[in-house]
Amino acid sequence: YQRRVRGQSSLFYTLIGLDALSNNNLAVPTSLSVAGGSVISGDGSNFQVALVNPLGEQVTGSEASIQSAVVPATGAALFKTGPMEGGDGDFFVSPVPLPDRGVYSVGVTGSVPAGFVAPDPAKFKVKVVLPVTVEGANLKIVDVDDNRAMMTSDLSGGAAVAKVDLSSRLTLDFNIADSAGKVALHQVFVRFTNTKTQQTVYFVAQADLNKRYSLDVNFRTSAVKSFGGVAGEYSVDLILGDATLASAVVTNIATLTLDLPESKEVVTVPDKAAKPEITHVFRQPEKRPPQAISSLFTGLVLLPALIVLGVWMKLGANLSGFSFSLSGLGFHLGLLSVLGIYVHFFLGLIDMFATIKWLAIVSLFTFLTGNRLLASIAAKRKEKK
Amino acid sequence: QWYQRRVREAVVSTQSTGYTTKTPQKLKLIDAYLGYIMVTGIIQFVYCCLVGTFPFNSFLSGFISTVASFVLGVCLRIQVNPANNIVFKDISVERAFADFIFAHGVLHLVVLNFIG
Repeated sequence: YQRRVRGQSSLFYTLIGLDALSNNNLAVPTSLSVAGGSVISGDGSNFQVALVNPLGEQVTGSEASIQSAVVPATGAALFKTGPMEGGDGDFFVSPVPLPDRGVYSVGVTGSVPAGFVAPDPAKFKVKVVLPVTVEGANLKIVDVDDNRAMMTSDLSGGAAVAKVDLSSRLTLDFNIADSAGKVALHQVFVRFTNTKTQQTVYFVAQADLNKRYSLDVNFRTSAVKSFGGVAGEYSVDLILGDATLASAVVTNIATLTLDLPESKEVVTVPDKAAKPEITHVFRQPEKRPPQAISSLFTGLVLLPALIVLGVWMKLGANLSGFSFSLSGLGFHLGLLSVLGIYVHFFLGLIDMFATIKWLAIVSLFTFLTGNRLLASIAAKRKEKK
Repeated sequence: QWYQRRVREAVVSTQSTGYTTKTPQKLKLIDAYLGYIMVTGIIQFVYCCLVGTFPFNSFLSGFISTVASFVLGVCLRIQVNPANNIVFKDISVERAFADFIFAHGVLHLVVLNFIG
């Protein structure tokens, strides 16, 4: 409900504005617009132009004239230059008797009486569409190896019927013409439709310099490449299309039966059932040795430590010289603390940052005490000497 | 032939008696330590050959720990040996020992980090 009110109010204000522009005493802007006949099809229709004010009312007493009406490329003219017929804002002009097909650019200017602003010169696109016919058609089925023509037809008696196989070649040539002579169109296709599977193959007919179109389909090479190896009955259509044609022209020119030794009739019924579910397989962990062996070797590795302790004792190592001084105790305590920090780190209780932090403190203490201890030992040794 | 065997026996016995009598006690202690380190390294290597290299970082860190400890022990022995006093005049026994301790501290930190 609300939208409608808004629409109506904006329309109302727009109309008020346009009315003010159109019905004032000072200067009324005008414009040229196409009123009809922008597609000329040669049936006598005229090109109509209206000279109007902002409200769309025609301006009495105005004049319009054609400045130019040519095809930019060829220069062929559609309308005679000069004033258009009609008056009071409603103008028309007839095309030249036999216009050429094409898209024309028409320049129109208008003049208005006093109190009106002359319209800007306008450029309109006017299209001339004319019917075409296919002439001089020559359809041949030719043997590939010896060029023997197995069938010829000029398509005058309707669609041709023929059998083709891997040793055949289809050649088709023709002209396209309208009342003015031979023409070249944008879209000239030959379509083969398989009557059973509705598969289609398109070939493009090429024109030579004399505007004669030709098509050559060699079934030996194209049977697999273009036709997918599918044999069967094909209906052949000639399709003509262009901007200057009122509508596309589709003619059935032949019905061919394609024989192939092996026909690949593809029956593609997509399998809509669910595919088997993929379960992710996680990476298997590496094989580890059995616990017994690991434990055995752990014991084996620790055994030499005991052995070396025994050997040391046998060699006479002892703790008799242990100095219970501050630095002595401090040094050994520091070393044990470092060991303790390492154990904590290994067990994962502290990360590397904390380890480094603690180590810095403890190692400094250990260094100082160790320095003092070793220096005292050295001094004692020197004394003894 | 018998002559060669006699010479060999004599050399071997001289080496062994020379060692037990002439080597100072300190060096013998260090030698025992070196032997211990070597045996530990060998056992680790044998284990790796038996069960494979997974986890490789653990094997590497353990084995290299023994190798590095052995090297440090050898350094200490060289520096402490009175016979080498001429070469290592400036480095006292205590200093060599302090270096040994410090290097071991660093070594064990790195090894514990790498062992995983």
